[in-house]
Amino acid sequence: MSDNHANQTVAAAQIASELHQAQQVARQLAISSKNARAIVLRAGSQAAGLAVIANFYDELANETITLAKSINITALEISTHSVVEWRNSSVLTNLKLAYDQAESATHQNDIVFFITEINEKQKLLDYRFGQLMSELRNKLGEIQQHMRAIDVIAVTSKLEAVRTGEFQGHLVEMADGIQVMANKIKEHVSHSISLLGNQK
Amino acid sequence: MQATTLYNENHRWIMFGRDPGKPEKIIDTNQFLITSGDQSILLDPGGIELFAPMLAATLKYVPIENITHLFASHQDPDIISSLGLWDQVLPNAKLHCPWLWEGFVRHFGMNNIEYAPIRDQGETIRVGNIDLQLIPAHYLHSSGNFNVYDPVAKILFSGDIGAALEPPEAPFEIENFNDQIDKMQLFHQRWMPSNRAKQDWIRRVRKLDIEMMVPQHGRIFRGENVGKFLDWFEALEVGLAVQ
Repeated sequence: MSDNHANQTVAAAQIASELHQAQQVARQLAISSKNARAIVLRAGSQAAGLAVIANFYDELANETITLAKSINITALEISTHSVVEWRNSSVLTNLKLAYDQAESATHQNDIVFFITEINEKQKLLDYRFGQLMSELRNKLGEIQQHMRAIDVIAVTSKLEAVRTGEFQGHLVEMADGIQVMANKIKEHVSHSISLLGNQK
Repeated sequence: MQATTLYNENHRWIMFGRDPGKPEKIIDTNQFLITSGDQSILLDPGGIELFAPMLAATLKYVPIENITHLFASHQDPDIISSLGLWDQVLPNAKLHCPWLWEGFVRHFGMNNIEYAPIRDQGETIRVGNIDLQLIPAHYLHSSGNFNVYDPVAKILFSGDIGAALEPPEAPFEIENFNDQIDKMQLFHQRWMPSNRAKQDWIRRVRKLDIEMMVPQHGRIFRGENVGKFLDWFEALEVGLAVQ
């Protein structure tokens, strides 16, 4: 793991950036879902079936924003954590080097105490790192599920839109737009997952 | 890392330098350990790449818990970029460093070691059974800068003053002062900006009883070479880049 610190730090920072962009798209998604709801209201009884769908959009978009924010925080925590591990492992490497070089030194064994202590610290850091990574994977997986759900809802809403007469064009266009945004978010998440793929 | 004992009576001065494992393109530095009783101080402990050889060399003389003080004459990386590593193995030490640099020096990593800011006018610190005087040397070459004077051993650690840029195989001590001038001149003219600051430092230092002046780079000045250096430096125009 110690050889990988630089990569981990950079990957986590890149994921934070990807999810920041995903969050911006999710904000647009939330606005679109509000617009969809307005059209549904105007369409009245003709679009009664779409009212539930519009609420789903809204809910998923808001949850996605919250998740993206939380992923951002986790990714930054991973990045900071990696730097601590990186520094720790650098201390360890140097202490081992000093131990070898202090072959004839009266107090050579003083170094062993610190090597043991820092090894222990490293184990704890490793454990926490594992926790953070699995947290991150789960959250990214959750966003992917949301996007898949939005995709399905968009297809359904296009079918439902047929019954809304004059509003059909608007609603279909909006559903298409929502699908485009959901795909953008999916791309950011997939890229993040691929960045994670190289890490422990 | 080579070590040489400069003074060994009731307390001890050890000089470390000329590290054969040092990467080629970084400047060679001298580090100093003063031990007294169960306390020790490292003067300008060095760059990050020097941490392992310095720790190994130091433990030949003192147990690690006896390193209770660090001194950084100023903020440069060749002086103190190893701080983040020392910080992990010296949980109860103090770093004596100009107050001016605290916010900067902490960037090297400092969670455990206590920052003991040195006031501009200097002060005296006690290490074991000895009192060390921190002598102002501002602008020579850093804007917040100190030397360390030990009145018992009569040694002045002069930081970058008296420094010379020379190959790592150079001897520890100056034999012929005139031969040393070429190695010192550009360094002092370019790295030191103020003639006024220089004269202030010379006035202070002439009042001290110095048998040995030890810089952070280059060689030791002993006996009459100390006076020769002061005379040479007094006459030297510094701040060359703006002339």
